[in-house]
Amino acid sequence: MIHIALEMLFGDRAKLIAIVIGVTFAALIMTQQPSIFVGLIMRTYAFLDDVPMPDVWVMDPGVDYVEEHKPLRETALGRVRGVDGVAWAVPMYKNLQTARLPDGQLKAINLTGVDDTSMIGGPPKVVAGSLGDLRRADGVILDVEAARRRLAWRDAEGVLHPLNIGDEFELNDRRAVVVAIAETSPDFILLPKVFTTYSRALDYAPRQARQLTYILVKAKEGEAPADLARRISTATGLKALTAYDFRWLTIGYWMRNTGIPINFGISVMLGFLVGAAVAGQSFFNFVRENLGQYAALKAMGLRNGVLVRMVLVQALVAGGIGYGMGVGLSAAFGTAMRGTVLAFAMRPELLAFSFAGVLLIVSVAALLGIRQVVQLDPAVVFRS
Amino acid sequence: MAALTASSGAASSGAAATAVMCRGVTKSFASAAGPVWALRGVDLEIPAGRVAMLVGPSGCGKTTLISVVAGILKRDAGTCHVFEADIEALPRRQQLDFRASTIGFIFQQFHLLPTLTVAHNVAVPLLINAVSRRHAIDRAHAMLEKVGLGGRGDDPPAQLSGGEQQRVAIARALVHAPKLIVCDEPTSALDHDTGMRIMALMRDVVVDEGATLLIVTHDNRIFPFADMMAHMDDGRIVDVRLNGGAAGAREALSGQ
Repeated sequence: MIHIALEMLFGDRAKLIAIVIGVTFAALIMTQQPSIFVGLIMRTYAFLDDVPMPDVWVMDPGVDYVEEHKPLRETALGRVRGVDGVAWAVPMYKNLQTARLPDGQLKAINLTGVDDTSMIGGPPKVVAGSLGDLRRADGVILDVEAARRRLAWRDAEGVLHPLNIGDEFELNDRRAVVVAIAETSPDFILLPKVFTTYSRALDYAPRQARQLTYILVKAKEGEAPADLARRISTATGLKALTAYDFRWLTIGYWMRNTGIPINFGISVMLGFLVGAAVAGQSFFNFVRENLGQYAALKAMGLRNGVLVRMVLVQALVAGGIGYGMGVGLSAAFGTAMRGTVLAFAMRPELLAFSFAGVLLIVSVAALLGIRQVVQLDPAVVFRS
Repeated sequence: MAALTASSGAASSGAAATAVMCRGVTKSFASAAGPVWALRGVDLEIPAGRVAMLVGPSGCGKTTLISVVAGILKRDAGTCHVFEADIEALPRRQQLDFRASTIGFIFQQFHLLPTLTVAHNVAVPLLINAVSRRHAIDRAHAMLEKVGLGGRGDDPPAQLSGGEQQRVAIARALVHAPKLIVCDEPTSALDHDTGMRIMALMRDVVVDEGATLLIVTHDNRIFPFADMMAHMDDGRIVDVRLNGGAAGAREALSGQ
């Protein structure tokens, strides 16, 4: 009888399309919106992903997220190096500064100073020049987006000039020469990223008593990073986190202190409700309009259990088509947006999430249909 | 109360088995003003292999009675046997199995599934009886040949005229070789000529298949096709008569 259920479903094109549209809409919103949300959240800790080498990040105890810059005294570096289990520890400078472009424009930039000797903390992929070029006088590395767009400047004729290797600009009135271009992961605030050596970064930055932003630590062979982080915290009074814990600290900050999860949650809920209403109502009507046929089948001796299976199959197939189309559209959206500023990360967990949402819609729709069919009195077929 | 019994006239056709035997059947429906009695003690006996008609004014209980006979409605009191089986006394699952295998239905509004082909519609009772799909479709096509719709099996019902749809309903009622066919107002949606032809077809096919036909009707044009007629009024059978049967059918057709 299952093929009869399917022929009933596919034979009523208008209802099928309405059900599928409802489920597709819900699946699309429940996949696409969380994908954008996850993409945005991933950007809040993108910097950590670009610096994979250290096991432990040491910072001021008041730091709550990656882009919060609360500098330490230089002496902290020596104290951390003295903790048992530390293989190496290097300094990192990270703060917002101001760049003056050749056309006189002032632009905020995100300046990172990496260890002068090891270059640990540098950009993950240098696409023009090399990391070692940072050793050249006044050398800085720009990320691709900064070089091409965000730090591009216009001449008197209005012609746009991207910054290339060899070009110069000023950082806090000091000369900076582009020596390399690098690809980096887009972050949340999307400021131009400028990399230089730690010591040169201190020269560019206004003089302060505390200028060390992070200490990057590698654990000795066999040392558990979490244990080492605890030991560093105890020994120095500083906050020491594994990269994993720092990531979750950052996520927690954005989740707690911004309206982003609520806004996306509302979108997802609306998508779910609208999709559920359209799909549920359409499926309810589909079953209702076929009640005469179901009653005839019941009169002819078809069991309720078989009818329930038929309705379930109809709901699941319509829901499955809608889910596939919704997820497919979401994936197409993500593909179309690749390379743009839009954050989008369609992870398998999100597919499971939207699948659960669609399953809930389908279950409710099926229950509404099943209730009608099970309670249906077959004697109605004899009432004209 | 009157009853049509084998001894009251059908004896002339031989010692036929009893298809339907009801005794003292009552049925009421609840309403705000108290119970409304649809059946007030019905006695009815229909020998097997006959065409029996239940006639009477609207609301007299005809439809309720065939629903009780078919085991679709529960009676309040009395007994009702179909081929010696008391459907109501059977466990729920066996009730459905009995109905699926022993009774065929022809509904006033046909209730064909519009999205299935004609052959698939006819095959439905076989599928309910767990016959394989391929075998069911083969038998459905054979039955469609029998009702004059050979070659239309792959059409959707909507492409058929009202008379042709009724033929499909007849084929569906007969395809699983039920012993009793319950038929509700088979000609109410058909014009006179089509109605006569359908009745002739039903009579021929049902007699050919050896089944018993129980028809509820208001349509006095088809009365000649009955072997026996039970008149109902106010929830009771008030008169039972033998009828022309095959001869009457011939007369009715020749008089068109």
